[in-house]
Amino acid sequence: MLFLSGVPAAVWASGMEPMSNREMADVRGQGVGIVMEDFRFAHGHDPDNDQTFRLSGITNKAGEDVEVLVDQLYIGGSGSERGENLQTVNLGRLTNPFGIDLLDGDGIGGDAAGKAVFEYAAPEKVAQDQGVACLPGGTDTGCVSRAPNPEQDIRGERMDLGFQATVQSGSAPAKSVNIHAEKAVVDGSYIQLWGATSDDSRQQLRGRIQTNFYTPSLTVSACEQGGTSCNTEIAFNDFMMELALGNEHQPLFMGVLGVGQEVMTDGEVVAGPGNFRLELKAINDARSPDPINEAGDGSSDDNATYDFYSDYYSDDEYRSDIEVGSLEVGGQEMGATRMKGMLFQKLDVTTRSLD
Amino acid sequence: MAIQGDGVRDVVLAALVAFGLAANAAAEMESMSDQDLSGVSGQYGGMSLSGDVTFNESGGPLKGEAVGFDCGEGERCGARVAAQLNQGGGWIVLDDLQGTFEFMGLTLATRLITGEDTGFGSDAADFNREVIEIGLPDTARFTDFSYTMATSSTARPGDSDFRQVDRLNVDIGGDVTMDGNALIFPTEP
Repeated sequence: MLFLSGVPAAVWASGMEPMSNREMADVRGQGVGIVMEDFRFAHGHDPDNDQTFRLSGITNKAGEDVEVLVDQLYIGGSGSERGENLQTVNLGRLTNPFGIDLLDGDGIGGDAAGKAVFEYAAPEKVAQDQGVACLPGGTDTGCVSRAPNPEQDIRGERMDLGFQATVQSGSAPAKSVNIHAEKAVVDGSYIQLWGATSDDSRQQLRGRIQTNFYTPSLTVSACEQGGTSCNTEIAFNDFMMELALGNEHQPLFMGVLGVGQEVMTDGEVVAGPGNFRLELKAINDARSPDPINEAGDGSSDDNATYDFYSDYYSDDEYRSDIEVGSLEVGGQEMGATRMKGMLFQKLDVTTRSLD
Repeated sequence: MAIQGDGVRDVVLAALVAFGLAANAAAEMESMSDQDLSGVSGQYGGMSLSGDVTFNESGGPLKGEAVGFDCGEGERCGARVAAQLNQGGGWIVLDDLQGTFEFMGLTLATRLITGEDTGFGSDAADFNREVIEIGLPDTARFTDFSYTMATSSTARPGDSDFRQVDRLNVDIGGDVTMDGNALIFPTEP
């Protein structure tokens, strides 16, 4: 048996060939679905119980050390009462789970065309008449994560999450910062990553990140350390964020400056090797060197370029929205805030050491 | 799904009985058709894991001092993992990784999800498939666990033109609250 199985393997092995990026892109296997069932997580800094959770290494403007003691970081089900009574939650649905998958870049197009794309995605949003409201009572009904419903035996896929920390900045008195979100949904979020073709002048990992976050209540407050008397609490009610960083024409590049890759401004080095750089390809580079025709109406020779920009400016998918149903500061109603249709045409951020 | 004591005994008994039968039946063995085989369902079992993982409890890589870590006697210097995202570029680094992660009762099993499973609403009956279930441990404890997120011009501290910017140090210790099961399954292509 051993010999029999060994021979064909040897024959196969001699015939094995590496796959090109294009061939890999055509491979469309089953992805992996992940559902966290009956899940909750919490950890916090509590020396009395031998628990530590400390963030450090940051300095303030004066160069003094900033120490952050994380009093509590939690993820639980809705009704967790800001982490005081941590409930459990299902993250993802069996029929629409979180997923890890390899996609065919031809389906994305642009810079991803002909490449294999790695995706890590939250449950997908569905058609408006098939889903549930992303915000309770809201008009966007394309979400799939449900509120708990014991009668229908639904544990619920909406999570409460929060972060409470004590910040000690230099010699200043310690302050406590609390952030809590209730019944939050991240449906429709994803990270997609792909590489460069061998003839690309820029050999770098690139991708696009869609961050969706819906919560009926997002609160931020600062208190004195240990004190229950917190000052003004800022509440973002019916908070909705749909942030699109990068798209197939303007991939997002993340990297670190290497030796000889200093960022110069007016002949001076402003950021040296070892600094982090986040870039979004500028849209006017996405289709260079073809400019829009002079008439700007698509009637002259390069209609494809006109159509490209026309599509770019009219496609809602490339745009980011942040909406707050009502902003409350210290119990005082401040009305609604909306930032709709933001289109990132260029982004280039480089960190810089202050020392 | 930890293996219960009774479950283990049943399995052992079943194995002994099966072994006895197999010895008798060996002479009359027949191959099973694909159809017959697809009707065979094994016993749902699983295992429970307990243990701990320790990184660099004592000592660490050489040249940690170049990054500013104190690797002298009585001090510890952790492991370093570096990833380069662009050709010729710098590195994103998980540095000075050290400490212990201890877990008790992590389980690994297969599970058939049916309409009987609670918490999923009508999804469970619609789904009706097998999944791999990883049961998060009853106890998860970190002891002196810490790491540093950083960005660096070169992969190793000893390389020429080494420059590193530390972004954040994280220290974690004590028992962590972590409940639930991770259900893992193939999605439709």
